[in-house]
Amino acid sequence: VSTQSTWGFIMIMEKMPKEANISELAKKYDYFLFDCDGVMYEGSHALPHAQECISYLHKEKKGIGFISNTSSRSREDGVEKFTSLGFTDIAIEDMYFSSVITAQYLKHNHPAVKKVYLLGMAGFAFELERVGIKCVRNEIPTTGHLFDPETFNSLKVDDTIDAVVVGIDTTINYAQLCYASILIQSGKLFIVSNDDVYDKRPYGVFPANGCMVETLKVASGQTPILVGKPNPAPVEVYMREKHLTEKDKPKMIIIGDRIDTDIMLGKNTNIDTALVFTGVASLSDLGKIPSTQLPTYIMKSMKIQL
Amino acid sequence: YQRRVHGDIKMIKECTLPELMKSYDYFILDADGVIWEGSKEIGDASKAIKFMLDNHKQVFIATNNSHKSRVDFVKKAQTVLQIDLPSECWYTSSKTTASYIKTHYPAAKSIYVVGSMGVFEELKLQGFTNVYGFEDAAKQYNDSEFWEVDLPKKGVPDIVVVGIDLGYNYYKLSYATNCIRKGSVFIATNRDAAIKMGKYLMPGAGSLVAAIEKASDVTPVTIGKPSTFTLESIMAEKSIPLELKERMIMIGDRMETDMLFASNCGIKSCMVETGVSTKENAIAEAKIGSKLAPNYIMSKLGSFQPIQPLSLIHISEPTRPRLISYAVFCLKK
Repeated sequence: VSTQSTWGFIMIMEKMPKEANISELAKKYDYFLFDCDGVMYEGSHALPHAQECISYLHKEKKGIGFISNTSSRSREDGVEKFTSLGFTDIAIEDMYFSSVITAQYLKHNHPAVKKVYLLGMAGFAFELERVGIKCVRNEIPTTGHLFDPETFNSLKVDDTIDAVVVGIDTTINYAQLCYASILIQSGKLFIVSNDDVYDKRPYGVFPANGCMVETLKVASGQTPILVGKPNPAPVEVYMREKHLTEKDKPKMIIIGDRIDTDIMLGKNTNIDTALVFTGVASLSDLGKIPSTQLPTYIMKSMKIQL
Repeated sequence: YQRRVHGDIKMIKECTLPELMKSYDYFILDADGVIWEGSKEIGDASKAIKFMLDNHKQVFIATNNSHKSRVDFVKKAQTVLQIDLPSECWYTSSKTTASYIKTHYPAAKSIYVVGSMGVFEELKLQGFTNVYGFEDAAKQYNDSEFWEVDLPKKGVPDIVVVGIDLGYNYYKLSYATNCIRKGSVFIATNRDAAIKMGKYLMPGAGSLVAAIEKASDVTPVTIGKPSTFTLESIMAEKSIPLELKERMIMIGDRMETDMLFASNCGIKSCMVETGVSTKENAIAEAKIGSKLAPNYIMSKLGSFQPIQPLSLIHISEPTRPRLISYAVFCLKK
């Protein structure tokens, strides 16, 4: 055991987050904001105790929000994801995937944005159109799936487009990246639903939005507005829709499996957090981070433990 | 003029091509922004190269462009510049990548390429037969198929090469990333962020490499400028002894690739103003003694006449405190 990890361990001993369970948290908090992947479900199966946790919180009349950085799903898709894994009692108005967050963020913070060039999937387009934002996805011509660089200089900037919006898109190609980059270079707003680099899978990784964002950042030389966790927009949107104010923050708690997104969201919005170990983070991670990033609580699972 | 900058760590000498020819015998030229832009010759570039060749100088083109094959570049030089620059002169990042792999991984059985035809051709020339990925431009990503069929069926290639790829798509990103995570050696042809195409920049190899680097948590070996492999390749293949490095000069337009390449190699560099970097950029780098600063600067490759330096000798102050006043600048030639 090196000196550095010993120090880390000693720091934890002094500032160790308290271990908690759902019933204890329900005594103190009224609004529960959950991350999804690694907290409620993992890939294609529900995590143990997740359903009973949701049912319990409904019974106790607690508010719930499902805040996921995934942008490919609309609210309806989100509900369908949960029900396909066997969940019941899931309310559509509690769905806050980053598609929803981005659409609401644009509506409230950038009302002049009426038409966007979208790199993203159908669920994202649906949520944007729901708030009155038109999505375009011009198919840039290719020859045998190869972009012809001779055509680059004749790509026209569509001045009716107000912004480039980027979410996960498994149909993306080089031609579309060219056009998105040109729009960004010409000064259009550059908005990104989330920056996660990859999602873990059993046999490898699923490259996430952060990869395409990196490509566009490097290619255009511009830094985007980042809407998803750990930036505060998810909390702002939730609070606005549920009519909560700053006074309600002490009654809110964010529960997630990732320090860099979920816990940091809490730090950035001054809301308590609970780190669960059913996903990405593990107990040993606590020794590797500065004490300012420690969660308020740690949880081994969603077990209610009355 | 010679510009002495405070800090005094690097001086940039303004010069002409004939002056450079007095001190150097080996001219390593960048292509884009130096000899041509797109399909147009940059003023007097062919005159400059002819002048070098007529005076028995050795000319090499070191370009990070891995899109075209050397055969294509030879043809382009004939069309655009009316000059014969045979394929032995062309050190493209795809050629250097293939040479590098042949040298360091001669036993490589399978190579996955996220890149252009140039890379496939050069690898074939080096004798590698199992080089694949070109057809994946047409592939649509399907989650279950990817994990259950594609990845297990194809196995893990020994090497993954990433360069500029006009057929880049999500499928290739995922395949390359997961192979690298499973142990494939990760090689980047170059890391130029973007390519200047008139008004706008086109995404370069560097923008694609950056995504795969992030997703795989592995930093690639980068072959093209500013890494030194290109010069090592030139010197080995042309049997140029080490001592003659002092007779070599790199002429380029982009400081973070061309000038840094020269610095890393221990050879001199000359920046031309017909491409990406500006004189102001160069002076700023020289002020802080950075490795990006060039040793020489020319307005363009075909610089035969010295620039007449002008200096400000007198400025008269406005004589009347009225709305319109005049200042007179006297410049001395």
